[in-house]
Amino acid sequence: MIGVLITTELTKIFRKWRTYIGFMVLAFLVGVVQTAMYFEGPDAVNMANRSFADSFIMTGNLLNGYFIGNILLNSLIIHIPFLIVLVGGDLLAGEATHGTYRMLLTRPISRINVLIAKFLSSFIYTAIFMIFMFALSVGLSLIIFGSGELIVFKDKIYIYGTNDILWRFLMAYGFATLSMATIIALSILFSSLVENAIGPIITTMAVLIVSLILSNLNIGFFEKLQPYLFTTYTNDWNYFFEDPVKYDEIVKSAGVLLLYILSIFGITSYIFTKKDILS
Amino acid sequence: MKKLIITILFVFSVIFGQNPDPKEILKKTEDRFLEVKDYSADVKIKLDLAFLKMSDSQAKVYFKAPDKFKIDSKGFAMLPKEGINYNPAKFMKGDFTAIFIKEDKYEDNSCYIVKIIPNSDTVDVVVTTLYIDKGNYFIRHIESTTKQGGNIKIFLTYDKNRKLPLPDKVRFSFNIDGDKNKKEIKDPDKNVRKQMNAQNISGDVYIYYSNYKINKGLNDNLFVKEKKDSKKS
Repeated sequence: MIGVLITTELTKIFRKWRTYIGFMVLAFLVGVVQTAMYFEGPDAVNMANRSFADSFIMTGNLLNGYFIGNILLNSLIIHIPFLIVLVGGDLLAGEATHGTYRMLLTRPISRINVLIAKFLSSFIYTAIFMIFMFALSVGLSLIIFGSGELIVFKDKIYIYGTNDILWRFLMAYGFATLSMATIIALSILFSSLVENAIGPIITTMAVLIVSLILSNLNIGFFEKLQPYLFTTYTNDWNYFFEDPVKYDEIVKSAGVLLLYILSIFGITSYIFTKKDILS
Repeated sequence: MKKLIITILFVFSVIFGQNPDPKEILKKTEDRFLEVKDYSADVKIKLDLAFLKMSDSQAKVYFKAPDKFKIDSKGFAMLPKEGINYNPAKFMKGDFTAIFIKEDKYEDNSCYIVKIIPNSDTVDVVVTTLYIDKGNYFIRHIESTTKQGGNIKIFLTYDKNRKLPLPDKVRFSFNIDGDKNKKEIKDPDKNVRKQMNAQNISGDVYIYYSNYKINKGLNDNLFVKEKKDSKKS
């Protein structure tokens, strides 16, 4: 039963043109960055390794698909939530807007099952979006720029061998998908409260912006608050590009995000099952 | 300061009697290097640096006298510029003063210890100390101090049967004073920039040579191509 519901929900999601806004914007941004890096990339790499280029003779290709993929992941991941909430915010409120709530809920399926299907289909959409991003930013970049070692700038410079990169990207994208799933779940929660999709989209964006700012303010009061904000953990995919990888931090962050998703689902299901359907 | 060091070392050498001529020692050392017309070798590079973490890399190096050098690698590789050429001729460019310090044991090898002090103010190195094997005139150890307060040490280990001055293992150790070497580097990451500027840049690079092919007549074109490649990377 759930399988049929998920298929139906996914069909509804991918029949709406707004679903493709995110894909189009992402493709455009990746294309712009790749074009810029194609012409300006050598300067960016030279700037990056300038600190030790004076003392070392270097050979090899640091301007490669992995380097571009890492730059794209770092620069785009902050903005991806704004694209996926376009779908999440519409999942429940859209039914109200189109007057299909009554038709959906008068069928012999429980409201909880409907909600589970909506949540799971939104996660599948998020995963498809992240796979699309991976294919464009890493896959296409590898085709354009070729393969090579990955240089990463953190507390120190890391240079990873070609056989030590792909798994880091896959794990990072896996974690980033979990982060995005938390955000889309939040947008579904707001979507259950209203009957118009614009409200949940804007509210989720507002919560995200405020939470991101609070997560990055190094002021005593906010530092006490930060462990409770989901945005404190959403960028922890970055740990996969450190050596050694801080698995304990990753497991903790993933646990917090899963807890957030379950809590959001719990609150949403309470609201949704008690909701008086008028449209 | 430089003149004072030279004077003290000169007086010291005069007081303690007749010493070997340092320029003669350097000449003999250089002559040993001149026996190497060209070589190629496989190298394994291990970096142990505070500011950079990288797994071991493999490369092939080519050298042709007097100063052509090329590094070839399937992947990314980096070698310290100071750690690839040990020909004493490079320390004796321009006007310099060579001073014999003493004879001493270095890792069970009797060595001449010679200091080279450039007389020009434009040279970055203040003083270089060479430990030269008495038996075969191989350089066993090099210590250089730069104007910025940097300290570079090179430890060379040779195969016992090696007939030419080409090392099998080189440890390149450096420590550059961050405060004295401050320069604005616009790195993408502020943390790296902060570290580069505020902290000492230090570390060790280990280079393991194998599969030497010496004096086989390397073609000059091999090195011309390298120039094009280096522009690309």
